[in-house]
Amino acid sequence: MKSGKKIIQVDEILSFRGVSVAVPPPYEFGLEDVNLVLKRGELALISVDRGHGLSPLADTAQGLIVPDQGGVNFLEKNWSDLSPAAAAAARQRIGRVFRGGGWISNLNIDENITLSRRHHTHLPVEEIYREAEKLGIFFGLKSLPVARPAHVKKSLLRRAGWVRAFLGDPELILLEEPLKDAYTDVLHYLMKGIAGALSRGAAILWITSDQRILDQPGLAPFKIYRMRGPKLAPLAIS
Amino acid sequence: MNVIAAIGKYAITRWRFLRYLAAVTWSIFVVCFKKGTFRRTVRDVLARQVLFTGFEAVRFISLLAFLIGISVVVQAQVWLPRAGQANLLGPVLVMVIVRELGPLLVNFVVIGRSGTAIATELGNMNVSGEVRVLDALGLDPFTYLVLPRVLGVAISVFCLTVIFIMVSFISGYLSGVLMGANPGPPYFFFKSVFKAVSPLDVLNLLAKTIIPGILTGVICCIEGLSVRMSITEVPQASTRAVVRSVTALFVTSVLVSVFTYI
Repeated sequence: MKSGKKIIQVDEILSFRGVSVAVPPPYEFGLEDVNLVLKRGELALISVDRGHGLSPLADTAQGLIVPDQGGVNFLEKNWSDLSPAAAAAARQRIGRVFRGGGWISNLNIDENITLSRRHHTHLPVEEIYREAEKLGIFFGLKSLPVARPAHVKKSLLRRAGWVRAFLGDPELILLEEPLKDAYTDVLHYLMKGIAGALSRGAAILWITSDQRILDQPGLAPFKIYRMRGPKLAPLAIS
Repeated sequence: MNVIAAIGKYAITRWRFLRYLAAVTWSIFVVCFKKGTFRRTVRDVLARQVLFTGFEAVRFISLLAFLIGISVVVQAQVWLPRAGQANLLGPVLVMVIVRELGPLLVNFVVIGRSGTAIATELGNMNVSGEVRVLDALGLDPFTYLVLPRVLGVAISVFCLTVIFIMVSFISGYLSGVLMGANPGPPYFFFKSVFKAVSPLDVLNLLAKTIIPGILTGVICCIEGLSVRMSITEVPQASTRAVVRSVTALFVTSVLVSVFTYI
């Protein structure tokens, strides 16, 4: 298998079961008895207050934080049961838009976008770049920015972040404030990307403080949760 | 009692650091021989490190070697024949340049130039959450950040030392000719130098470049990654990295000299 991915057809992509964790700064708060299940083709919107602090939810979903209580499963495997190498390999199947951008400052944006694919697969670099360019155009970018993150406009950085998150058809996509610094006129690109990912069976966890998202047409079906401090409460299922 | 407690605390802290240093160094060796370690992304970082630490330092090292060549080699060429020990020219030069001065100076330059850069870069990366991002992308920070930097520094120190030795001998010979020190035909000069190099000297050169190079890389990475919360910790980490790298360099140099020649 060229991409190094094993095809595992499981229905449940991500699950938090009774997860509690206390974390030090820079996280603002931990998690308290969080329960959440995301299946193939499902989208969960986590509504947070504007200006909320850094939550460990996405990091815990990726197995970067070990819960004090409960367990987090990705593709029906508990992160705690995976060896470090297996966990790292599993993370290549998760795309993520990081809240603070999440760019490696000594790499150009195009290198940042393709980093995970170049690391985890044996695909020719040209092919990876072609795939990324195509996705960039899909998200309304003329081309992938070839400059250090500090030299790229924030609005472009955000869309480049979308390219990185959706590159390689990940099974799970974590979107942490994906519209921060992006103009609303590019929202439809993201919606198109999300719809495409859901239709191919990916699951999406979208953390947002932007209430307008809830009114977006074409997002259904989705689950809505509200996060207040460390607690996650279901609000509605659309 | 407080003094004893302080000494004990200091000793325990040092011992813990040494243990940690040994563990990380050992892990470097283990990871090196693990299948799938040197993926193209890791090779890229290694190449960049060699480019920065090795290639970009060639000019400065050559200048340093040129000046050392003039001062040390010319003096040896002048004074040894006057003392009736002209036949010791080769051994003396090998002892001074190859065994001690070359590795020591090159290591110093690399610590000052690249060691601080590594500690600062990794410290900043840690504070800005970039190390966490690598983890999130499924890249092991140890394999992607630490391993290529350590190997890059070690390879660069060795190559730069070889360049240093060659340039200093060449510049020493040429300046000897220009200053009328009468070094003789180049063939005899370089023959006397090469004849004085024993297999033990080669081993010594390897040990005094590779080992401190690895230790410098490991120490600077450890110190850089020890920065947790604040950007103001970065300069402190860089200073600690330099002090500890220089200490490791001298301890290694002394130990290698003692074990090789005594």
